[in-house]
Parts: sequence; structure tokens; C-alpha cells
Amino acid sequence: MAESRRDKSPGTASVSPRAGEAAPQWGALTVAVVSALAAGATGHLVGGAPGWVAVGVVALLGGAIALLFVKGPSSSQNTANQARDESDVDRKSRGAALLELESIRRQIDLATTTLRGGRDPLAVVAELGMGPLNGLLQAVRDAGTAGPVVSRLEINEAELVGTDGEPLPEPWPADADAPPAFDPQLRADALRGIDAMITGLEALSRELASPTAESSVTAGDAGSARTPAQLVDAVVHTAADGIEDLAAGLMRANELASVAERVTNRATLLALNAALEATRSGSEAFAAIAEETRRLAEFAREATDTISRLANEIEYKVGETITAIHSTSEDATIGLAAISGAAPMAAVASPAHRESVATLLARAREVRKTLTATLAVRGARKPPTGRGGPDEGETHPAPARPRRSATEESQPPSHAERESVEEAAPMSEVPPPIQMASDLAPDASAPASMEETPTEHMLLLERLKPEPGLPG
Amino acid sequence: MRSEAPIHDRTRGVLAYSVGGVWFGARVEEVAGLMQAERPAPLPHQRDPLSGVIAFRGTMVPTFEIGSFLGIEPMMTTGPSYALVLTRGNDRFGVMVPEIPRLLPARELREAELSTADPELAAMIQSIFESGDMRIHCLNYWSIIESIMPRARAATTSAAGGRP
Repeated sequence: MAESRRDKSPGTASVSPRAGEAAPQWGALTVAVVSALAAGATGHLVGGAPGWVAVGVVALLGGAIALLFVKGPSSSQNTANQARDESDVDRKSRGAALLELESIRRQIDLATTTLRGGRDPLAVVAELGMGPLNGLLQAVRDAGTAGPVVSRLEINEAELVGTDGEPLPEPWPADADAPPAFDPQLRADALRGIDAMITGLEALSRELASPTAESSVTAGDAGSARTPAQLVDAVVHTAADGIEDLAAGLMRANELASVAERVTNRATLLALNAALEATRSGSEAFAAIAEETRRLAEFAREATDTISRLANEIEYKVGETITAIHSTSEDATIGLAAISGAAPMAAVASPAHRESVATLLARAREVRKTLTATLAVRGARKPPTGRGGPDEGETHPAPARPRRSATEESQPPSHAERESVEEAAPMSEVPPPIQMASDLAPDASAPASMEETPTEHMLLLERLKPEPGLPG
Repeated sequence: MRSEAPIHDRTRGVLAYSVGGVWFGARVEEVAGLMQAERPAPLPHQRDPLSGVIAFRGTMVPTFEIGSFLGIEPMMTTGPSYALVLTRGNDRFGVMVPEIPRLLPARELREAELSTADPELAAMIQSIFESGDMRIHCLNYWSIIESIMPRARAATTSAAGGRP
């Protein structure tokens, strides 16, 4: 609304000067009419050829005078009006340009938001398909659907350089595309930090991998490598399972012992009742039967007592065994922890630890490779300026790389691709990315550890931190 | 006071049981039998030391807790209980004891003086026997059961010939 008011106000102001132009036009018309009347009168008064000449002269004079009325008195005013008109046109064109810029900025915002959400902006926002960003977004889509957009654009640059055989035109000004992040000193620091990180991760992976292999060979199970702690746990669990079975059998034996005790009690009662009757009756035969019954009850009593005593002893020994197993397990755990302090940490490291280190190492190598290739491509676009530090050689042009699909991008590069990257990067010690556990084997060609300060580490980590929200 | 008659003339044996560390006994002539009585059937409005009734050889027999009557807490509250059924003529009642009594024949017994009995138990003790280290107190069970369950008036009048 405000802009519309601003657009209307110049138009309203331009009405008054144009109304002032009516006076000269009316004067010219009057002069023309008078000159026509004068020419007619002259022709009527002067006859023949002189009369026609006189008519012509009068008409010309009238025309000249009328022309003077039209042009003569407002030349400076016309100039001002013309300038004002041009200003109006410029203002209108600037407003249109601002509107267009605002539209482009909004489309860029939409495209950025959509890309950070991992979606195709051309498919999600129809407006982008007709806007000025259409070509750029089409190029991004052609480069692939997975991975960071920035890296895709870098790859396209390299392909463009390689396919047409000529470098891209120099940007204007010459240093316009040289961001501070690619300062030679910072670049050297970044590469040195990545090398140090890769070296440390390789040393850690070697330390984690080698003792595990020995333990797996010792255990005779090459398929499943288990640490001593896991072996101790397995033994304890096996023993605990056996003890649980034994305890269940013992409970059953106790139940049978209680049944035998009840039988014994009944037999004892029977013997006592028989003895009571025999005593009361005084019968010798009854007394003999009562005595046999009593002996039977005594025998049952002794057997039941023996069973109960044995069951109690077994239960006591089972309890002692369980206690000893737990104590042994704790001692073994403490001993392994003590060993881990002096021996390699692989003694207590789990496969998850080794996998985490392998993943870190692979990602560090990928970051280094990407950074090196990117620097090489930028170096090919811009010749060295002489400010280069220790890595001036990195500015060789990058060789042509065939286009890789999105699926191929997620796969490790082939040997030829690695060679091309290594050729682009002067540091020939770039190790191949690790994608499998077998690649965790000690690498004899790994570069030696480079000294660096914790500040460089922090700077490197901050620089390598991916932008949140970007896919990949 | 010790009886002058030999023991085998007075009893052929004693069933001895322990309650609270004190040995008590019953002469075999008074005992009708032994049985395991886990849960005596309770009587209406019954009070301690009565524990209910049990079925002994087809007869319903009232029982009482000897430990509760003597004011002695039993050492073992779990496990089976046993009923020592006493008889006198056609009357029977049971004494609930916490363990199976031992049968001690007369030849293993010797009689002790009643004056050596605990004064609190002296009124209920009929005789005292000794066997080894055991000192067995034979109680006057009939006086105890009559103190717990006095004879009914109807039964008393019936026994007296129908006069009130």
C-alpha cells in the first residue's frame, strides 16, 4: 500500500506542468489562423503570380511564428519535464527491480528451506519451477538426490572443467570467490589436523584390532571373537544354569524327603499304637508284632533322617558354589580391568567400540578426501597468487571425473577414482576410505602422527562440523 | 511321696513328650491311642485351651492344648500336631502335643519323689518318673479336663437318679 501511494504521488504531481503547456499551443493555433486569413487576404488583393507568391510568403511567416509559439518560450521547462519523466521511469524501474529482488530472495529462502528438509524444491514448490532459480535447481537435481548440495555443486564444477576442456571464466573481481576459509594457512592447518586425527584413529583401531584377533584364534572360534570378560561371563552363565538345574532337582528331593518323613511319622504312630495295645493286653504275640513295627518305623526314621541330612548338605554346597562362582566372576572382572590398565585396551573393548572407531576413521578420511578434492578444484579455477603456503602444489587443475549416480555416491570410490583424487591432491598418503571391518587392519603406510595444539583441534572440529539440517 | 509298690505293678510304661523343654508323660494304661491331628474341628464359642474335636476310631473326642493350659509356649509352632487320646471307661479326650511321644517301658523307669516337683505344677502332677536324664511329670489329666469342661448339670442329675 505504501509503495502504491508512492507510485501515485509522482503521477499526481506531473499534472500541473502539463496544464501549463496549453497556453503556447493556443497561441500557435491563433497565429496559424491569423496567418491563414492574412494569406487569403493577400491572394485576394494581389492577383496573378505575385499574388500566389505573396500568399506563400505570408503562410510561411505565419507557420514560422506559430512554430516559435510552440517551441520558443518553454525549452528549459521542457528539459525539466523530460528529466522528471526520466526520474519517474527510473523510480518505477527501481521499484520493479526491488520487487523482483524480493521475489528472488523469497524463492531462495523457499529453496533453502526445502533443501534443508531433504526434499526436491522443484517438486515441492511450483513457484520455483518458473522462477529465476529454475536452472540452478535443475542442475542440483541432475547432480543427484543424496548428499550435501554444496558438495554436489563442487562436483559439477569439476565436471564442467573437465568436459569442455577449458577452465571456467575468471570471476570478477579476481578474488571474489576466495573466502577466508581457504586461506592457505588455514587450509594447511585443516589438512594437518585431519591427518593427525586420521593417524590417531588408525593407531586406536590397530590397538583395538590386533589383541582381539589373538584372543579369537586362541579361543578357536574365528567367526565370533569374544573378549576374556565375555568368556568369563559365558562360563559363569553356564555354571549358573547348571546350578539352577541342580537347585530345582534339590527342591524336588526335599519334597520327596518330606513325603518320606510323613510316612515315617505314620509308621511311628502305628508302632506306638501297636506297642500300646500289646502293653495293655499283655499278649506276647502282639508285643512281637508291635516290636517289628517299631523297628520298621525306626528304619524308616533313619532313612528319612539320612535323606534329609544329605539334602541339607547338598543345598549348603550348592549355596557355597553359587557364592564361589559370583566371587570368581567379580575377581575375574577386577583382574581384567587391572590388566586393561597395562595391556592394550582391546582386552576390555567390545565390538561396538571397534565399530565406532572404524566409522570415525572412515568419516575422517572421507572429509579429508573431499576437502582435498575441493581445494584442488578451486586451485584449478584460480591460478596460484603466490601467497600459497606449504601446499601451493594443490592448485593443479582437477582431472575430469565421470558423473556418479546417487547410489554410487554412497559407495566407496573405486581404485581409479582414488587415484584421480590422489593425483588432484599432492599428498599421496591419502588413505582409502574404510567401509569394512577388514579394512581396520594396521596400515603400514599411515603417516606419522603430527604435532598440533588443542586449539587447532578445536578450530578443525568447528570447521568440519556439518551444518545442521542438511541431508547426509 | 514315693509309692512303695514296684513300678511294673503300677504301670507298664509311660508315653513321654516334651513341651517347652519340660517332659510330661501319660501312663500307657490311660492311653487309648495316638493319632496325627493337623486341624481339630473348632467348637462354637470355644476358648483356650480347647482346640476342638477330632475323630478317633469312629468317636468324636474333645482335645485341648497342654502347652496353652500350662502357660508354656510351644518351642515349635510349625509342623504336624499329635493327639494323645486318653480314656477312662467310655470317656475319652485328647491332649494335643507338639511331637510324637516316646514309649518308655517300665523297666527303664524309676519313680521320683513328688516333693521334688515344681510347686506351680505340684497340684496337677500325679507322679514323677525318671529315665536317664529325663524327668517325666505324669499329670492328673482327668482333673485338668474337668476343670476345663465341667460336667453338664443334666448329665450330673441324670447320673444322680433324676433328682434335681
